Amino acid sequence: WGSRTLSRACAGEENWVDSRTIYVGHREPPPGAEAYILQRHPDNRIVSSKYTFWNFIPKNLFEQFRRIANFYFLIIFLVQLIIDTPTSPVTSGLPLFFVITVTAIKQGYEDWLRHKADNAMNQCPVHFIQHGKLVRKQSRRLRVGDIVMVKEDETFPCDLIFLSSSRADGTCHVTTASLDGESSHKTHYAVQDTKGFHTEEDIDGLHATIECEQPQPDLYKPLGSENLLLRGATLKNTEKIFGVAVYTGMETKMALNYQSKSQKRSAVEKSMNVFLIVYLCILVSKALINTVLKYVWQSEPFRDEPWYNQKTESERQRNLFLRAFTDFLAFMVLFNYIIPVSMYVTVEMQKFLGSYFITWDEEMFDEDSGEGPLVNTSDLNEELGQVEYVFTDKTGTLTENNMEFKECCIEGHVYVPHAVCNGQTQAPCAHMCMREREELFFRALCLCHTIQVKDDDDVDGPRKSPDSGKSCVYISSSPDEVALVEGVQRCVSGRVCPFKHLRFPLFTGEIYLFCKGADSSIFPRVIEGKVDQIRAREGLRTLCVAYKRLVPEEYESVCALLQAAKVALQDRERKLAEAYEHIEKDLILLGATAVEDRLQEKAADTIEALQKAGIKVWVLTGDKMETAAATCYACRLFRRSTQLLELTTKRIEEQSLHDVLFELSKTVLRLSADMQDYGLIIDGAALSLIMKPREDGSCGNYRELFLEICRNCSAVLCCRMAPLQKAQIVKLIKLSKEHPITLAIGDGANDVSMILEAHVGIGVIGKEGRQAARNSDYAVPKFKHLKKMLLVHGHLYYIRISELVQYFFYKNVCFIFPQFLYQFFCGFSQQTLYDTAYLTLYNISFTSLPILLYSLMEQHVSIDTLRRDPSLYRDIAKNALLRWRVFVYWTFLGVFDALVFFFGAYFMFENTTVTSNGQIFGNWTFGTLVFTVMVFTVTLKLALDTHYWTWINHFVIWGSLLFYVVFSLLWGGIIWPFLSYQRMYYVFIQLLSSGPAWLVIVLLITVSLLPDVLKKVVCRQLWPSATERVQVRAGRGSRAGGAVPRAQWGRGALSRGPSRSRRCDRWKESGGGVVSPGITAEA
Amino acid sequence: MKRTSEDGQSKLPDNTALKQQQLPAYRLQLSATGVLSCFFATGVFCLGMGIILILSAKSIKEIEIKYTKICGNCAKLREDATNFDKECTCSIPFYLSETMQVKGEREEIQAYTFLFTVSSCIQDVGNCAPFSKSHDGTPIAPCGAIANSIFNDTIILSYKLNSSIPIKVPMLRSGITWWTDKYVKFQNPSSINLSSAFAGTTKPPCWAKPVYELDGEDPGNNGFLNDDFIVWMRTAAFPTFKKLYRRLNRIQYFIEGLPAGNYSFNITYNFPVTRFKGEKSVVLSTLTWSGGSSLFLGLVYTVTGAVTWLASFSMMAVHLTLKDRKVLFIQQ
Repeated sequence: WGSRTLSRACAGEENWVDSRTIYVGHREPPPGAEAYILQRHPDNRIVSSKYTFWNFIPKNLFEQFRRIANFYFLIIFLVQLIIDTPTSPVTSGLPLFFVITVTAIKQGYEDWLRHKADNAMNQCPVHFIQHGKLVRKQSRRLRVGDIVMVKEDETFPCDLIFLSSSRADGTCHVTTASLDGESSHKTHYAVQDTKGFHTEEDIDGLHATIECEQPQPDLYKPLGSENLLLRGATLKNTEKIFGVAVYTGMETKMALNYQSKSQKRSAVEKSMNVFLIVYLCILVSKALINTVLKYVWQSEPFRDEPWYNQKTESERQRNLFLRAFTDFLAFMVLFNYIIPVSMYVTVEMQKFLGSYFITWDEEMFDEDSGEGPLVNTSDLNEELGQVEYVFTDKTGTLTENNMEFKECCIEGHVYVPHAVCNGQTQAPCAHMCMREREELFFRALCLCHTIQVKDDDDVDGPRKSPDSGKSCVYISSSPDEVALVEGVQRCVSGRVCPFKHLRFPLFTGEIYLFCKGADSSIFPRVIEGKVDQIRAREGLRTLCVAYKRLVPEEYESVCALLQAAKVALQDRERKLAEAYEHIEKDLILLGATAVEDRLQEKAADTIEALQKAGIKVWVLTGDKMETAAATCYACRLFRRSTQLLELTTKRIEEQSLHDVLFELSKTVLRLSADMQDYGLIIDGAALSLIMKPREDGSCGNYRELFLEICRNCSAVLCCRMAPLQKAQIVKLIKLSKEHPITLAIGDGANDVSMILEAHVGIGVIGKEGRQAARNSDYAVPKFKHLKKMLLVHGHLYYIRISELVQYFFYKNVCFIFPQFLYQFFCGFSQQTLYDTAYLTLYNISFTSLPILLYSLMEQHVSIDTLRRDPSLYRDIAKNALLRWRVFVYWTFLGVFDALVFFFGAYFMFENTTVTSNGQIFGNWTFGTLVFTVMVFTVTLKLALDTHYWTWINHFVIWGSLLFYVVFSLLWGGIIWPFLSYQRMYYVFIQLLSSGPAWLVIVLLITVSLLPDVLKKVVCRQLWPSATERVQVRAGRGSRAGGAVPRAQWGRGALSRGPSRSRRCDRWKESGGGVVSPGITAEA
Repeated sequence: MKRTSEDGQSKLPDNTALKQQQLPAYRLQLSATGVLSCFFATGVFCLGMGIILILSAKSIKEIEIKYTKICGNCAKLREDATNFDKECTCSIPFYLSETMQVKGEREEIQAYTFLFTVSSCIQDVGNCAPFSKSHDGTPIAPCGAIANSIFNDTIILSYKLNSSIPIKVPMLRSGITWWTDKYVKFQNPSSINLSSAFAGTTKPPCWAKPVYELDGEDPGNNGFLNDDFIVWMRTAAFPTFKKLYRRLNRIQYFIEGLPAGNYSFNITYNFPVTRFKGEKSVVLSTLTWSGGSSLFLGLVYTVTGAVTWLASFSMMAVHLTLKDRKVLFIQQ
């Protein structure tokens, strides 16, 4: 056996940056070769975990303290430990410890799961050939150059060059479902020179060198690499194959195509961080102001050292700057509650507990599969309410991935073989038969395909014919061919014989050339036939069949032409295409077939609802353009009125990309004024052209142009997408200048990268395995559940969390601002206004539960209304409730309330007696008064914001007020032996025993709530939002016993939005389930 | 609803109202009539309350005499800390034109108001530093900056019944503290007599007398149980504050309150305020159920009531015009 160079394995590309040389079976390089350069390749280990046992604690702590909030709390805690402050370090240390520990445990567990999955993958056994023998080893020991044997239904352990197969013709079949989602079988060919090596010994004797390019992620490159078997693909229908490892471990195409799972942050969390920084600035400036003022105030010695409080020697000698800095830190600590660690705890709890509502949802439970929704991360609940773009996979997500032959049209006559559905074979066929054209038509269908028949029914083929006597399985690279053949089999009583693989010409006594293809490709080549009677119908994949009779001479020349093209060494593809182009002309149209890829239940309804909610839906699929377009029609993403714009390779070949883009953008911009619906179709190749960075930069930015076009299209279809391209397009939209929130939904492993890339990734728990579901943030059983997920759950979560965030900042402004003001009245001495117990418990127990329960229970509108009226989703779009305006409003409300509490109590205490017996109140009573008013105001403010009062809300709101009162009574009612001071003794009780104190409490609560109530009422009346209108309507409705509401309270309520009756109709119509399929032809 | 498989049944979530977010709930409806009536009611309450409070505050009589300037020479004397043992008294005559009539049962006389910085002196009562030990190491009782700075002026009010003899107006020094402070919170160390109980301690640096000699007349009002001391230890919230000094003992001529006539305050001036630019004053005041003579509460109530009414009227106007327009719209 001489050594050969199998350079053609991965060849075909001229522009290699670098190449790798592989010696098959780790043989010595051939003597004549260049100097042996040792190339190091990684082993076949897959690593998806983030931590190891040793680096977990430092790395995880580092990761966690990179969050601004955690770092801030750590600093505050350390400062409290170091300097002498009026507040205890426990108050900030304990919650921080809690948060850090819980997060670390959660992340550790997740990483442990990843380790487990990695180990399972790395340890699964692989058959090696070593010294002519078969050896079993763990997958991770596989190295580049090893020869591997793979049996049927096994997945390839790494990227292999296909050496030989057990099949005589040196081919094998694989499915790449987990790579690109195509469940069809693909045929790969063994390297010509080695396909004869059938046994281990043969293989072992092979001396060969492989030159191939360095790993790169593009699945479809090198194109036509029929010798390359990719990791993750599964061997089908072939007993065993031999292959040599070329890319291993993290260098396999699968690994390169997967992105690491990065931490996703929701838009709310981002706003929260921004608010946090604002509050941090407020905090620092407060502390700074107080420190500066303190030293200004103390610049006069009688204030610095009054006679009753003289400094000690050591105090006098301390460095001024050091003292000032300590004071600054002390003020920081005093005011640190303005950014409460409890907010983060509450948010985490809300997200964690709230996510259970999704898993519990009965309506999102699929009874057929027995699966319910899964929540893999609870960090993104509210992001579900913010989605602006939905990227959906087609196969298995929108459709059932279940092709069915629906009808055909021959010479303008429509045949609907009901037989396909209910098994009555005879009736439709009776009148269908015996016409020449029909004969030809069915012959064409029977011949023009790439189907293989497998008699063994143990094997899981993509489709089994359900009611034929023989249990035969058709395997094909195109599922609609299977559907066609099955349909034909039932209509024509012909034998099904094992067809030979042919492209499409078939030669009988008379020589015919049959041609089957999409109407767009067939029609230009047709010269005769009822072209105008065939119309593509919504939802059906239409294929046209045409034929041409060839005279023998013609046939000879055609054959010669093809042969010449086939053996061409350069530009083979192009020459072949030219040859086909030459042959396939002047065809006669026979008819058309319609195959339906059945939509998932209520897919169209869901898409319609999403579009009504202002969400743009894009379909990203690895499928062919025609199939995908048909599905888009079926699920009403494209309507009949939609004008389609194509940005496909074919068009780009004709014109330059530049021209196409400009033309399209012109069309879109010109006509967008006419309310014309646009749909854009783009394919993977065109996309990669657009994404390619320009070298010269003079051509203008194509991406921007492309985005501009997309923005004006109501629907976009991207076909022929590699998994990474799906992610790329998601990323492109994600990073466009509006920074929209994206959601990706898919069911296959090919959707994983897109799911990981999008802000929210949703996996459909599908038939193709659970990879998507496992890598997603949320998983649903069916596409239709997306509707409730977004419109109901997402909306509610968003409302809840935004109120939670704003309210937390608000209540802590209320809490700390009086403390700040008090410094002006106590000589900036860091005197606390409230007792330590109040300082500690304010956020932990007095005001924590009502907001937590609010953020779990609140339904500002009923679930039913949310589902019925998707347009309500627009009300919260673009993070509407966390905009600056709203944030500033809440902050000012907090400041206003704090001013009311503080100065209300101040004027009450100043220069007058508050009791009827003349006894005086001290500073702790003052603080307690402010605190009491505050707790009541803040809780009642939440009560005013609550729309949905269940018994739990009542219990928690009134309960926490009661708890405050009881606690205060107890705290002040007993001399607590463990306390070193008794400053709160009887303070609260004395306060309540004074009449004016009650009056001032009532007054201050009223005054601080009044502006907010006024603002709310006025806004509702003058500028009601859609949600508020619905609330009023619902109120009317319930009062009138569910009658259709007539007038609404609020201006312009009648003018906008679809009327109720229309909505009902639509509901009924779409509730009807699957959209009725269209008819292929007009008779 | 059919549940086909056992497996499905087990995975099916519970159909409880809580889990399906379908708990029976009351939905808060902000209807026009509801909101308006709520506003009107609040307005009525606030206005009524405000008027009552203003009236009751108006009925209070109060006299305030600032005596820092009047007793200027004493103030000057106290500015020098070395003169701490020199006694200085001053007398302030004044005329009460109207009888300070008692409407309730009691009449109070409140003493001093002054500007006073509380800076760092009330930091933490539990922590006495730097006034916990004297220079020679003996513990200070009572310790801490607050106790050290105790108010130690003596104020005596006398009434000139006829032109010659001044009568000392009888005053109660009891009942000026919270009952709980006097009887629960503050306790003297138990011993046979107070001076032995406080043996081994020293007086705070600014005090003239040790703690067990605060009241020479009443042994129950001595040591930590001294009312003036307890009042002082209840630290005020603000630098300008007022503390209760004595209550009028309604006997003899003063059963009905203080009759109109000539009075004078005789003040033993001990507490220096000019050193930190403070001021002291003495206040005579009657009290009502709503406390002292502040119009603040009444005014704010009235203003709030007025604003609420104004708001509700304008809202009603807006609502009615919108309603009219809508009716027109529907009729068209």
